[in-house]
Amino acid sequence: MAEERGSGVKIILALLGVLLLLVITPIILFLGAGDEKDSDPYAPCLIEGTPIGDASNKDESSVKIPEQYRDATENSARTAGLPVGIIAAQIEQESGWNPKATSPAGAQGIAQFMPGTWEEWGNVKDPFDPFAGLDAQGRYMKHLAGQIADLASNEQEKIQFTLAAYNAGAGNVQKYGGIPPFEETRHYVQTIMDNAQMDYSSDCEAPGGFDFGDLSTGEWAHPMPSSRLTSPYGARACPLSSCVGKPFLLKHEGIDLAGSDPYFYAPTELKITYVSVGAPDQLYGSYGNYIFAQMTEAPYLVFEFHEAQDHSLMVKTGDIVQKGTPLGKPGATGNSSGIHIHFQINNPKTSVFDRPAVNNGKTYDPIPILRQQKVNIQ
Amino acid sequence: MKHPKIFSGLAAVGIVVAITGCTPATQGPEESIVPVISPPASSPSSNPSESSSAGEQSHDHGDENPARVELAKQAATIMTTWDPTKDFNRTAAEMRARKLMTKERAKEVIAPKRPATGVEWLNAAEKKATSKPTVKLMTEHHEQDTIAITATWQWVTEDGESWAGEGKQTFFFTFTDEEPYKIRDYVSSVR
Repeated sequence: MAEERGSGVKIILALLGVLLLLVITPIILFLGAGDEKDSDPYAPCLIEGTPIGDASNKDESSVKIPEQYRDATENSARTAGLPVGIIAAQIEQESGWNPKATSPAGAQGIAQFMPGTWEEWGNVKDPFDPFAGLDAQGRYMKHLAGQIADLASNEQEKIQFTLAAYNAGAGNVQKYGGIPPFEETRHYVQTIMDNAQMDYSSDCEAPGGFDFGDLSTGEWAHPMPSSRLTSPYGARACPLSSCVGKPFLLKHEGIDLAGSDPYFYAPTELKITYVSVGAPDQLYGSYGNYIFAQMTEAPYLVFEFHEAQDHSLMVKTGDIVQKGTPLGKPGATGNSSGIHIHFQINNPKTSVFDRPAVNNGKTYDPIPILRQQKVNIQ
Repeated sequence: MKHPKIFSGLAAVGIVVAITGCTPATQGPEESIVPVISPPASSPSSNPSESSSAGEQSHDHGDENPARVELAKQAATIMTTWDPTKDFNRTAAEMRARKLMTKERAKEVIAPKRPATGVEWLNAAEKKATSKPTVKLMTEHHEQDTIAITATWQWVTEDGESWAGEGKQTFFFTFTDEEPYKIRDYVSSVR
């Protein structure tokens, strides 16, 4: 009798267990689906839990593209053949997603079309209709991208040149063979590229990627954590009465970092391929004390560190250093007037196994690369 | 601050590139047994005795020509003083600074096709505000022959309302050799 009662209880418990599973499983699945839905690929890039872009100034860190415009923005980007983050960053820059925005110069609507341009691209719709504006933006950007396509050698350039064409006109991009040397146009392209990466890419991916291949997802170390950017990559002022025939004077091939850090560090695991020998080195007058190094894994980017303090280099040719290893002390050797480090990232094709040469490989703006690896340069 | 300012180096480049130009595009590190160096258990920066070591070879950065610094500040101020109700775009302010440049550089100040846009600009226009910049010499900048000026700004209305502008703009100026100095060239960054 007692055994029968015991087996009855077991059956009841088993039935209750099955019922519980039937109830809980859908709840778990529902919650899981909810988590997936909340994962927004166009959310701001977070570094150490903090948005690093414009979103840090606003109380809207989790969602950047207003929900009502998400589909239209994605469609616009698809039409243009550009990343969603680029179209989103453009709209943010143009109107701050305000469909009623009007500029004193006459630009109208969410995408700030000028009346003449809207006449051509607006399909006879209301310029203050945000969906018509986003649709027209996609078609107009596609048109511009087609006009500059032959000039671009990679996806990133295609995006940059299209943005430049939007700001300065495709004729100027063609005339200069790339981004025209107009300060405002340079700033426009830079701002949209930066904001697309920082405000509209939850994984901090640089728009258009890089032509050297994919980077691993591992985070890098900051080359100088307490430093400040004192000279950016790219165009710089000619110091001579004429720089005609001296294009190397008009471009900064890396970034300068200065701050209170006693050392500069390896951002990722590197093989040290060349360490200079102080004043006897042929390039000392220009580079100061310097190090060349290469990633130990794909994409084998080449790194340069220049202007280190005399007798401060802590590695030697052939060493393999782990991420975060101090390499030397910032200095003011070479052609500089104050303590800093010049940090440069070169294409993997750069020569690294013998005395490095001046400008012997294509360089990249280190900041988008570092940000993608969760290192923010201020 | 690197670059090939050295022409002798450039001569070497040709030789080196010729020698190394066949380096495979995806060439990895040489395969050999090499020492591996690790980061320290604790950050070197946590050692107070070492934290000032960079200062051992401190360079005085106060040696810029005062007249050039003043010219650079004046230019940066003009270039970041905007009236959004009148200026078609931000380049309009750069145009106003052309008087401080060489004729050759002044000719190269070109405005883009688009008008200035953005929430900051539109808000300022709506309130009829103008920008009032604050400019500072960037003493941490270390490129010889170049003066860097950082500009930030407030938007101010006629009735006294004001608010902080967004971001900053850093200018890098070079100058003619003789007084009275002119701006020979410049670039700027909004990062």
